[in-house]
Amino acid sequence: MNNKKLLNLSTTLYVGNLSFYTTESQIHELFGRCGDVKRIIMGLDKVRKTPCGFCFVEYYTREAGEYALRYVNQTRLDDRIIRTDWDAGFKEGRQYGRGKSGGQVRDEYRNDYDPGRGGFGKLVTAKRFRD
Amino acid sequence: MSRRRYHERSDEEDEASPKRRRQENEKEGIEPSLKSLIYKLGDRKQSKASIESNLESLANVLVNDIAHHKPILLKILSQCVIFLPEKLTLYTTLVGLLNAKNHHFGADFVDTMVRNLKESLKTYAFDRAKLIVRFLADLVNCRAISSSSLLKLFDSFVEVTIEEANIPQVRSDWYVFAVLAALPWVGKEMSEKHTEKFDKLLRSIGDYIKGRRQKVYHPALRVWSSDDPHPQEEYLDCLWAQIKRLEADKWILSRILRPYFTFEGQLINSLQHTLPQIIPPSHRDDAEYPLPRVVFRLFDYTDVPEDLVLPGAHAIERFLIEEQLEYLLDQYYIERKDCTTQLLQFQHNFFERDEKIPIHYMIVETMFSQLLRLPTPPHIEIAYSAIFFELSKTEPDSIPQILAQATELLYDRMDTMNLVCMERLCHWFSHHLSNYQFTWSWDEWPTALEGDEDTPKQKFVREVLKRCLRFSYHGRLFEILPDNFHVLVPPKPEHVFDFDNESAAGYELAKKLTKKMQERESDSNDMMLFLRDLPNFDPSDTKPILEVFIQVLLHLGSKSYSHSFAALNKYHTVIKQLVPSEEMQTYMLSCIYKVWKNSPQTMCVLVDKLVRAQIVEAPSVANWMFSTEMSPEFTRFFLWEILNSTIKKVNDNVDKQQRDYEDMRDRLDATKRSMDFDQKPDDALTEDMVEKKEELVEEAQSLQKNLFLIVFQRFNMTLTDHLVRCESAGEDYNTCWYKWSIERLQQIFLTYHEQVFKYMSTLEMLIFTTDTDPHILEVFQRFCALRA
Repeated sequence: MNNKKLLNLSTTLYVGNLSFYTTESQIHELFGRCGDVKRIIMGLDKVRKTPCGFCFVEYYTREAGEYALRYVNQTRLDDRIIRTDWDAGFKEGRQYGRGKSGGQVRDEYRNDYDPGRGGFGKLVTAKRFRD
Repeated sequence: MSRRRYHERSDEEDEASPKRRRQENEKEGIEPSLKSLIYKLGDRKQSKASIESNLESLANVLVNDIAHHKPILLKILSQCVIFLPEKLTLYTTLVGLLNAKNHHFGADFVDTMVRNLKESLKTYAFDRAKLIVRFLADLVNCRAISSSSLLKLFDSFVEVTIEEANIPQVRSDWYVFAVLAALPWVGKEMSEKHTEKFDKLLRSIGDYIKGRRQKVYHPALRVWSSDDPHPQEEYLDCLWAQIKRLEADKWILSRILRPYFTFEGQLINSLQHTLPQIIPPSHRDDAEYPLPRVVFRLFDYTDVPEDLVLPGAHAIERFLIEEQLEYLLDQYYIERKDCTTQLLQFQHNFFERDEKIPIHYMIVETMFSQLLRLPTPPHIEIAYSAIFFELSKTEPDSIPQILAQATELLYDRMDTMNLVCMERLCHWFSHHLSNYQFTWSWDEWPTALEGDEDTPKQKFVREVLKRCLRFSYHGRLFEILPDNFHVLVPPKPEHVFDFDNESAAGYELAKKLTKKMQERESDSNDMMLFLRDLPNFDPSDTKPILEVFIQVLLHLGSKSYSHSFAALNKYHTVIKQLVPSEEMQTYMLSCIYKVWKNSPQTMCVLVDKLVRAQIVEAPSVANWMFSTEMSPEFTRFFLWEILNSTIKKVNDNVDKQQRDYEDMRDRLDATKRSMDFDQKPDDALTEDMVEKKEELVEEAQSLQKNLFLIVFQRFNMTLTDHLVRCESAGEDYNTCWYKWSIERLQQIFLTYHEQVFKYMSTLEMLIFTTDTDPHILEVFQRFCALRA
């Protein structure tokens, strides 16, 4: 099945811009307001195996996912504006960040200081150590 | 029309077709632009010209399209009636102008409306039917419809109230409501042109509303049990009072934008069409009429700033504005940004001038009226949260303060608020706070510290804090609350493990089980063998072993839900063997509760999983909830979260089986039909398979019936115990505990009224008999009256 079709049938959401400290139960409370949650898969740093700021939320029904996109996307969780989007479906391995340092790619290159996501971006931090 | 196209087609088709094709292409092209022109009528962004000149020019443009594009025009205008009700008077004026210029078109439009109305009534699309009736009524003002024929339509609707006795009241209620909702627009015309007949109509309506309706259900739908400060009027009573007031004011509808009056000169000589006779379709048993409602009032004129005027409770404007706001919510709730825009802007097309109406207050009030509506809100609860966020973002100097004011008022009046409404408020308020760093003036609520856990204001705050805990973490609550409120903070949501100290009876077993579960190769079979080998293993009483097993499993899986689920999944077979009966299932739930009693959220999540995995069945959940062990927690919200979630799963299962069965039945019938034409069915579907599916449907329904019977029976027992005990002790039965418990019983009836209604006669025979305590029986009777 091609990707577009998977997305159209999906009941799984990708959730981004989480704090590294946001817990499964916080995610469950918010997303549970849209429908019964089947499972939550926390996104993990590939090296440290600790949460690295994203997750997948899988519902039992598509309708619940639609409600989340309409009413949770771009509102706050753990005081951060989070992003949600349809996901083609969780597969083993996709729970790991794909950045070189182990976290998400976006945390490699960003220049801002974000205390909820490890402070400065990884390259910036590395540079600071070198200098 | 390109020449190339002509040549491509010309071999295949006859000579007439290129012309038809050209017309079809033009039609396809014209529909979107016509739609755009017509839908955007009155949108301020469009042009600075006055609405009257917009109408005039649009009518002049469209009248030229009638010849070639009549069907499209009719279709688009019919859609405006249903989907743009906030622009009623703009579209009636437009139709009126078109009718004045081309009365054949006017006739066709009226025909289309009549057809749509009949269809809506037949298919129970009552909201649409109401909008069509309203539109037809306003067309009288545009001289497109004769007022005498409209009066005949009203008469035939009101005649439903004197149909044979066995019709449900909700049927005649709706037909009267449809007439009343249209009256504000056409009352003046009617009272002037048909004084006597109109008077007679009004008197019949009055007799019905005041005299013959039963309102036994009314207390069940009230948000507050008190009428102080605002009476909780039954909706038809309220609308009737508003109409009577309008009548006393000579039907003058001031301030509302009604462009047709400006065009009186053009419209006066139009051909007025006569509505044909429209007979309401007879009642059928499967008919679903809208349920009655209670009018929700939060604000009065003293709550709004002095320079703004809030229409009074019995002013027809209050009804008309609220009606419009609800239409907008119902049309746009799916798209929160559009919804916000529409809500904030509608008054520009509704009022003649920028009236000093506190529209933001009315928006907030209307949204709470939907959120707190009984039996259930029209839309998912979180929609209201999200729309409030958007409104607050768009009007940051107004909406947030009004929301705070509303919250204060709702808190003030908490003592008489229905429990289900309080619960919804807890959900809303905790979610709302979580988006604003939980900032709130808690110290202005010292009354929350009075009384005990079941005292309304304290209960509200405690349950809000429990939800805030789920959104954040334990330590955070101490940061956001003043010191004197720390006593209301729920316990830290940690699990309990009884077997990690040597003096505990199951300590040794727990140690062995822990080691076993942590073995990589351990699986269900392996574990089962291990358990059977234990010296004190007794297959007829697995309780002692089960308790330790569950505790160890949950202890090891305590890190996250995923860990717990993985553990439950791994030992699924073992657990099912240890828990063979409903009694054991109930026992297991109490074991789990021992571990996770400090985290109601985890309890909800685990019970959900166990029910879905069919390790625990729905009746066991009900029995566990009503058990003596859980009676200290009986009024805590999380228990009802669990029960309602369980009931919902059972209901969803029935629906799914039913849908699948109907689908299979349809496919089999289609296959049979095609076999008549000597076609081989490639479906492997057999009559046998469909019958098996039917059995599954019956099984699911039987489970559903059984669950409701158990729940109602347990309620009856629990409540009767309390009433009897109070009577013999000479105490007042009406304690907070009683209030919460009886309202939960009512909640089950109301929330699931569609399903429970099926089993009414069984309930009447077995549980809610004449021997039942009258306090309990009253709740049952209110429920029966709802659809009577």
